[in-house]
Parts: sequence; C-alpha cells; structure tokens
Amino acid sequence: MGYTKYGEFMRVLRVKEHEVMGDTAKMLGVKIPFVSAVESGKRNVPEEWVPMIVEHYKLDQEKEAELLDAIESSKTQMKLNLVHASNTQRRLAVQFQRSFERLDEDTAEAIMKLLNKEDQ
Amino acid sequence: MDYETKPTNRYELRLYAALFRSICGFSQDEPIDPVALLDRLPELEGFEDVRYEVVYNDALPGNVPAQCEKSDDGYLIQIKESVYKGAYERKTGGHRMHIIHEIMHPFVDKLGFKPIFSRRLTKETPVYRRLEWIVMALAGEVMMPYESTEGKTAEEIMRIYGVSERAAKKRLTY
Repeated sequence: MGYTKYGEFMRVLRVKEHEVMGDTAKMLGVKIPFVSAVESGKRNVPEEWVPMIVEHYKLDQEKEAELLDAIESSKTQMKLNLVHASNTQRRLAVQFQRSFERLDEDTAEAIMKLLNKEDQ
Repeated sequence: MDYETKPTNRYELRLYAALFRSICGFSQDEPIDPVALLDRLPELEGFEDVRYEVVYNDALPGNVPAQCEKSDDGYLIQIKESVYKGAYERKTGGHRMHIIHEIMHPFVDKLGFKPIFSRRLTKETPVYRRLEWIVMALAGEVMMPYESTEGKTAEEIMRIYGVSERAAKKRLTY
C-alpha cells in the first residue's frame, strides 16, 4: 500500500500549489480514477504527461529531473525492444521474464553487479 | 462493517473534533475542505500511514460511496469517482461528508475505538457504542463545530460549512 515515488511527488506538488487530484485530472485531460491508479502504481505514467506537468507547475530543471526519476522508479511495466536482438539475447530476455518474480535479493544484486561491470 | 466498541458521548466527541482540527492546523471555527485534506493526510501527525484512492464507480458495491480499509501497512481510503467529483466540482454537502467520514475512520481507530469482536451488534446496542455512529457523529462535529454553529440557522450552517441541509438540521437538534 502507499503512493509510488511519482504519486508522492505529485501529492507534495499539489499541496504546495493548493491544488487537488481533481485539478491534476483536468490539467491532464483524463479521469480522476486514472490519475489515482497511476499515482498508486497500478498504471504506468503516460509519457505525454511529463511536458504537461512541467509546464503547468513551471518546474525548473532540477525539479524536472526529480519528476523523471520518480516516474522511472514508479514503473509497473517495462518493454524490451527485441527487433535487433540476437537469438541468445532473446533467450535471455525470455528467461529473465520467466524468472523475475522468483529472483531473491542476493541473486538480483549479483546480476546487477555483473551488468554494471559490462557497462564499464 | 459496523462493530460494537467502547462507549463515548457528545462531550468527548467535541473534544476529539477540536483535537482533529488542531492536528490539521485549522482554527476551531473555519470551514474544512475534505477534498484538499486528502492530499495533506500523510503530513499530519498520526496520519502518516493513511492513503487514499479515487476509484471507478463500479469498483465498490452500489451502496458503498467510500470505504476505509486497514492493513498491516496502514489505512487505505477508497472513494468512488462520483463522490469525489460531487465534493470537488459541485461542493455537495453529502459528498463532502462522505469523505470526511472516511478520514475519521483511522482517527477513531487510533483513538482506541477498536471493534469488540466478542460482542455481536444487536438492536439493543446503544448508538454510542456503535463504531459507525461514532465515526458519523465525529464527522459532523468536525465539519460543524458546536461552539461556532450555536445560534446559527440551518441555512447559515449549510452556507458557511458546506454541509447538506439534512446535516445542518441535525446539528440544530443536539
């Protein structure tokens, strides 16, 4: 239970600007339950919302970066583009998808370390 | 769901209402906007674990305008879209009262009004021992402070505090 990082970001912003969730829904042109579902992590934040939020609340660069970080942390689903992937990469993606929910913290940390090493 | 709980009375409820206003930083006589209060809840002392959601109308049973569920993580208030919109767009007194009612649930729970599961609610159970009545009465006390509504007409109470005619008239009877 609780708000996602994005939901918390928007909640704090609204309190500061004396707005409510209904105002957010009007500004974004969507229904209030949809805004609520996004803020509680049941739906992903639509990409087109970012410029609308930045403009409406006149966010500076620092705040915009904070918003993007909050959105990234709040993602409920991610897509992998496999168009140019090799067969091995495809097998890895499928295997990762199958095993994701069973991954324990230690294994996840070990995989992240390995992938970070690849990036360096 | 209604339960039997520890007893209370109007005098105590007025003290709790004053305490709630004080926690929220409201004066003892200003009108309260329950919709705006929803977003402020996690910043209020004692309400850090209270969250809310606005849900599609078919997500809750037809006769349930809003509800508050307690779990190990805290309290989740769920409000039907029609109720939220009524309170937000039209400022309807009844819808505003539904929302403050749900906000009172975690407050009352934290005040120690826990369900007494060993006792079944019967027709003989007095209202002042019924959880739902206590929450409803406290919501009324919070929205329409006793001291500042004394001597006012129902119309004045409705206009100043944004409550329904029914709630304002009820205020005048006790």
